[in-house]
Amino acid sequence: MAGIIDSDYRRFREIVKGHVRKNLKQYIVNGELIGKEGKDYVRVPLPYINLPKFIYNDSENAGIGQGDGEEGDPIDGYGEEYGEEGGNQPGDIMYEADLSLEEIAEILGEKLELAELKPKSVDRILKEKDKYKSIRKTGPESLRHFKRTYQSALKRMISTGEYKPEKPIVIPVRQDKHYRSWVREPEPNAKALIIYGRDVSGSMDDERVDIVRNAIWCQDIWIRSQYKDRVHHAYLAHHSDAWEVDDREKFFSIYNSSGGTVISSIFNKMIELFDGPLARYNKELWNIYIFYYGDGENYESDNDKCISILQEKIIPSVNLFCYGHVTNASTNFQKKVMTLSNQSPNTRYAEISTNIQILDALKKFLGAKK
Amino acid sequence: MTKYPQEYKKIQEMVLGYIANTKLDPFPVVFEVVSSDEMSSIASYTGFPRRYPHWRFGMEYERNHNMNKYGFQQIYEMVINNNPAYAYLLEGSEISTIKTVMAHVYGHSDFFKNNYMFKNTNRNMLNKMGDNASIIRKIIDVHGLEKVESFIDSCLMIENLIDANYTFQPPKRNDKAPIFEEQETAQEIPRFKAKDYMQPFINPPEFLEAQKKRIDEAQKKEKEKVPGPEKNIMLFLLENAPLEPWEQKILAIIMEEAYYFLPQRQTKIMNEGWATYWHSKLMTEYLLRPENMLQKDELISYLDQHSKIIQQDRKNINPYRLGLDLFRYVEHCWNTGRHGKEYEECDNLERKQRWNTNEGKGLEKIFIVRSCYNDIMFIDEFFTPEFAAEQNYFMHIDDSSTDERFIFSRDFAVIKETMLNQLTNLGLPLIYIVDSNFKNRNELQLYHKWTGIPLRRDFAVTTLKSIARIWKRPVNIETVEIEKEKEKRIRIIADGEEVKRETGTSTQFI
Repeated sequence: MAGIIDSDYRRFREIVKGHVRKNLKQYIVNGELIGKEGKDYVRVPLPYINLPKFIYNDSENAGIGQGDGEEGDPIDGYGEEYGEEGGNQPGDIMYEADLSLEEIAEILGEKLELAELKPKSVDRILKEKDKYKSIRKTGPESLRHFKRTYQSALKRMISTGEYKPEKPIVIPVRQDKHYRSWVREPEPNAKALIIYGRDVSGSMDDERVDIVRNAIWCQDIWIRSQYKDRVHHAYLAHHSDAWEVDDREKFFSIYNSSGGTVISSIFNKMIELFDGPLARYNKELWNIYIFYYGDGENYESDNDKCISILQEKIIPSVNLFCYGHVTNASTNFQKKVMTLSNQSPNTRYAEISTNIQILDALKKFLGAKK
Repeated sequence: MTKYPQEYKKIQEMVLGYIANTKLDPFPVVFEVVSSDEMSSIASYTGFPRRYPHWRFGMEYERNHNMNKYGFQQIYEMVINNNPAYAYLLEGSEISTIKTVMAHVYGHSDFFKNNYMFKNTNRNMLNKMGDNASIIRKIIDVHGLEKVESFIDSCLMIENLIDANYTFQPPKRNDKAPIFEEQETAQEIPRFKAKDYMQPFINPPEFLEAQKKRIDEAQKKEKEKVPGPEKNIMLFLLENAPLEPWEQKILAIIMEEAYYFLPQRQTKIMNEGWATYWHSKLMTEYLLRPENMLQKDELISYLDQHSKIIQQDRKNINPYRLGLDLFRYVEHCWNTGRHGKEYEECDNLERKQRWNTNEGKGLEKIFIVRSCYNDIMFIDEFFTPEFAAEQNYFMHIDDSSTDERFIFSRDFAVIKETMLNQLTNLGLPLIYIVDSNFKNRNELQLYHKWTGIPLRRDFAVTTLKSIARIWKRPVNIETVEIEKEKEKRIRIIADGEEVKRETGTSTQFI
């Protein structure tokens, strides 16, 4: 984006999103373009604000056009916006170009990171990467270093007196040629396991479920875009019992159940992933992050159990444990986790009672140390 | 911004060399080469490198950027009315595009310099816009973005309430007191000269009472006198509304910029037509000659580009096309003597079709037209039945039942009327101030001149509220609404956040 217009553009987006100047909201018109990206059709939303003025009610009714056609013939109203083949190819899928990954990353800000990410022992030296960092005198023509080659040719020609400023022609010979070359460098490799947990018990109403889904979706997409194949994911849900969901889509589509709530069940399930003889991930080799979302309405006698599991087994083993409390109602579980988060540096707590707070919560979870 | 390549300099010299042999008289032009994203952002600022902070520039940017990204529209050319003119070229354009754009830009610059509508525009607007931006930035620093931006929005809502004749009027002498001010200066009651002891006899109390009454009545009449309708609502508010100094500055800036852009809106068809006429002439007669070609495929890419520019548009008027065709038509008519009484009264169709007096004054005529006309005069005079038929124009409307547009008429009178309606007052309703002391309560009364089409109600309400915010007293507008196919006079009153709608018989809140 070209520098100067940046702040006006951001201001406009803020208004469109309804964060500021709420009185303009009613004049936002949701325009759109149907564009083409490669083979796919994409819907590009182009919202604009139609600032009120004194205008005619149907000022656009009568128009003037040019071309063939009898009176009464329809004119092709859509113009060329649909692209040439639009319409005669059935079943084109339309994608939404609403938010790109970059945009989401931009929204979440560049300062986010998986905090406390450490290169863990064994994996560390295993990976080596070739980097084109050095120059050699031999090599394939495709790797010829243009500048270096001509520089040395020029030097040679000046020193031998071949170069004439009035006719500046530089011809490299074989000994002038330089090529790019690579060196092998070990790349520190840090892998991470992200464990998402969500409460799907009966107390999770529409609003709470919505917040959990939105929060996990944003977080998931951001982490994937930033860390790509360096992270593994695990999705767990619970009511009075916990289970792992092997597929992200399924995980999102769980609505809620009528069951009770035993939070410790999901903690135990999480521990199974990285601790004990049957664990899929060795906690010595993996950076582990746990994000748990729920309303904290737990079976009362389970609360202490939860805290002791957290303190003894989870928090010492993981890089980060985060709890998103998706209601503004206070519960015993929530209070205890809050206390815990004040004592331990790798425990974080955020209240998300509305969708607007998601961003702040994610900044807390993924931001640098408090 | 990229450096101005040597090759472009050569092309510019070529273009200038040709222009020297014509009657074109443009301002000098400074070309800058910009990337496509820079072009999007400059276009959002309407060609100026610096404007005051406002969201609508960001909105334009998003639009331009996406139109470009998804291949709908690429802006190749941008020029501003300034001396010297500043124009932008798109980095990486083909040679033929650079040639076309340069020729086109010189056409615009000649038009800006010589068309009478632009006579009173500020030719140093580039710097003025920059100054205005700094002033508003400073105001924002003091009063905060939210507050200032809201006020700018209020001003923008009335930016079309200006008077096209204003810049041509001699400056008004300020001998008349502003009409909203009360003339409460106590006037001395005239009495006959008399010694003190004679007073009760020469100027008896009854006489003085009568005199006083007469003066009061005269004053009252003066106060009730409705000033003539005022179209320049922006100026009126600027001079008479109780504004804070910073508000006054902003309103003045928005008004100044509105007047600067007004002639461009009034000559869109002519301006584009003129520039297209000249780029076409320059390209085909000179710049594409074999000895002037820098690349082999220039001709093909020029033809491709030019045909896109003048593509027939089935939905809207394409100003490039209409303007170009009209200039060529005028040129043709004056070359062959097809104008004037004798030609118009000739009813022998065959003779008319072959009419040629070898008058040869085409070029001369179009230069006169370029200097002395605006769009509405241009269309009114030269958009003739023959022209409309030749160019295949039609009028289309929306079918409300199917939501599809269809060709409604090919009748010349209908087409021309629609066209002139769209150009009259730039297609905007005519609104006047008729009273600034409505009901003797310092309220502002506006009047919408009825031409058969009602105002868009929700917009009118908000705009009215905006004016009330500026005027700081209630504002009302008298207009007409169509109810059950009957025209009904109504008055909409904005009093703070409250809005009322009054008909002759009832009042309701909206």
